[in-house]
Amino acid sequence: MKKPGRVIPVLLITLILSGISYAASVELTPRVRSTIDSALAILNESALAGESHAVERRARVLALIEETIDFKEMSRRSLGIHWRKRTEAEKQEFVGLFSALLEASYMDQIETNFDARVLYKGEKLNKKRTRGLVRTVVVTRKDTEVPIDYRMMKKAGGWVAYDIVIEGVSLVSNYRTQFNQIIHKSSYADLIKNLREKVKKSTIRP
Amino acid sequence: MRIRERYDRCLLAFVLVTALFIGAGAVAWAGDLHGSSFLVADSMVIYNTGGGLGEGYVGRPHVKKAPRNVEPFDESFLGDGYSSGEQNSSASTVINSTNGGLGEGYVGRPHKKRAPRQIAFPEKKAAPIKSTVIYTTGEGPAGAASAGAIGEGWKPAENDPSLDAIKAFMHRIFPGLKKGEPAKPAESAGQEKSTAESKSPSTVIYNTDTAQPDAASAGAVGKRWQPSTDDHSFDSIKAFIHKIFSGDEKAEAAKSEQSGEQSASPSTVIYNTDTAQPETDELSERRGRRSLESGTIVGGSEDVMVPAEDVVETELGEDDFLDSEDEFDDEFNDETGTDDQAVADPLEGFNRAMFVVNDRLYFWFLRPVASGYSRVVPEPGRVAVRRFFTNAFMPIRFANNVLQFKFKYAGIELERFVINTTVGVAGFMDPAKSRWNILPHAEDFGQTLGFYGMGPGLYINLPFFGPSNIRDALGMVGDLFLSPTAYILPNDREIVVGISAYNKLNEVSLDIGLYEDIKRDALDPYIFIRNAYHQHRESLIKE
Repeated sequence: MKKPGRVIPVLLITLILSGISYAASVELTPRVRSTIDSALAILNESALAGESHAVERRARVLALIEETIDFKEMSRRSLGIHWRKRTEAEKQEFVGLFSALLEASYMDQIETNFDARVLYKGEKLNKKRTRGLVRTVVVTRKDTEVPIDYRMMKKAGGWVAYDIVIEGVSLVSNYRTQFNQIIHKSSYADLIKNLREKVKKSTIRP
Repeated sequence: MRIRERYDRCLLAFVLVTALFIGAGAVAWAGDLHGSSFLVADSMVIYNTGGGLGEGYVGRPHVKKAPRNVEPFDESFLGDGYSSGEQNSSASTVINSTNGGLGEGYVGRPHKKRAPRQIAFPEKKAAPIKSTVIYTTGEGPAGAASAGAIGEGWKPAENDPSLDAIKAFMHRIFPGLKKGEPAKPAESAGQEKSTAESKSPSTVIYNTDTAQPDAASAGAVGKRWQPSTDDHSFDSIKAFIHKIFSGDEKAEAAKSEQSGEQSASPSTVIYNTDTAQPETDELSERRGRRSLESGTIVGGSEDVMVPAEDVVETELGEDDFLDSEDEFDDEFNDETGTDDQAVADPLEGFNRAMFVVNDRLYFWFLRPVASGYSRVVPEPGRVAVRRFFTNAFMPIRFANNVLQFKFKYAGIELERFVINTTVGVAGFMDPAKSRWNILPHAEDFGQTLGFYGMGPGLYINLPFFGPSNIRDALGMVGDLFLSPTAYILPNDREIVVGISAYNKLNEVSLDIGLYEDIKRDALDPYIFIRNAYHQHRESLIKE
């Protein structure tokens, strides 16, 4: 009934599919594509099918994602102005919690969307070639198209995604709004407490 | 008393429509169980052109279509129901009238032997059906039998792709255009290919509304109509489109001709991960250089085998990318967390209350009902129902594209409608997308208002309808006037409500789990949805 445009299911796919490899290529789309291929291949591998292999399967997909999505960057941006006010230890704690939350949600989603088709609609670089955008459309089994854009930046190790835009909804921006609200209305400590509860409920991590 | 009666009629309509579609879903399910071997499209379409469609078909001038072969419907789970099966003499039939009906006339009773049924339409709208052409491709008892049920069966040449029936229909509408257009070699090649692939019989029954004997057209009863393989009727339509949407469209079409068969626009690139080949270094290097030089979009994938230049041009014209590096920088520097201030929410108290109301409504009522329904109708059936409604609501998308001067997208919407209503069996399938990669371009009146500069206004969380704002709520009302149900049943609001309720139920059944995920992932689900709705709508308007 609440339908912000099927944002969330895709959110998951997004995260999973958003892996961008560290390989030295300058091109964005092939990177995104190879990561998506690898992730989907793992999910479709018959040797890894079934509940008995769930742990291994998830671990491999997760490893793939983690090296391509810059969760630290996403976390930093999601916290916005509040990031600078945190101590180093707090930052690490926050990144750990937020990453776990994102990972848990997309792992759950990607496993149900393993059969999605991905259309690549192009990419764009800024003039300095420090940032880029890869546009994709994911066609789900239910025959809906979900546009997913990857905002990427060049880091020392290569291109990484710092934000994922699903149906026009930037994850970073959306979470930043939530974080702001909570910090404003109560406190940062409350936000961390909140995050911790969310993560605890997730079933992905033991 | 009055209210009671109205309520009863609503409920009755809802129950009837639900039962109807559940029946269709059961058929789909049965089809799945039978295996796909003979689902593959000895589907039958009865097509009544009585009025209306003629105004409509607008092709897609700039895109070269993939080879047309109708037969392997991916989503032919409905096919079973409409196939004539092993011994059914006439099987059952989908009757689709475009004279305002938009598939209202859908009747699926596949498991009973009975002659094709014609649905009665409002008299003022129904056009008399005077001539009938039965057109069968391929072989097999199915096609022959069903053809025989209506008229004299006949076999066309084997190299006869069944989509030609549609082309012939186009001839009927635009007879004068045929001669003017030169033939396109690529088109013939495509047809030959489709011929080679055409294996299973497929039947299209085709009613034309007037009986004028016309050699070039489908002709009268009993006459055999045999489309030739070098039939370029789509070219005529394209030419017609060019006349309508002249100017730069022409240039684009010319470009598309140059690049020939392969020049699908990037928006139509389908990347199938199953068959994907790794990109060659050379290609990727070339793209790299391009993006270096131009700093613009490098489109597509090698699947379309398009020279990068073509893709870039098309893509730039069509799509609204971030067009300055400033936008990247803004995003990068935006650490102030000001995004949410864009959403005016003075009614937050009320909205949060409605959020709770909707939450309860969902968990206590909608979800239980929808999951019961989804147990009866398997997912492919429900997806088909969604496609049907999506197809039927084409007028809304078309009109709003036109209102925003997006004539090309309006044309694409029409093209999709024609294809999906015919080949797609009244819209239950989406061959336009699945076979020809023609993607929809949805626009609604809220987006149109935004296009003309109207801001979102206050955020408002409506009971039952969910998140909205002043602009989009207005837009929703505006779109009601274009809803096909409102036209077909102007005096039966209760029935319209019943049908809408069914559509809603079907949607909910397909989205079960979505709201749960939002609640699980969000720290504040209300803020999450408010922000996501705002961002989503703004991005749609910006497109």
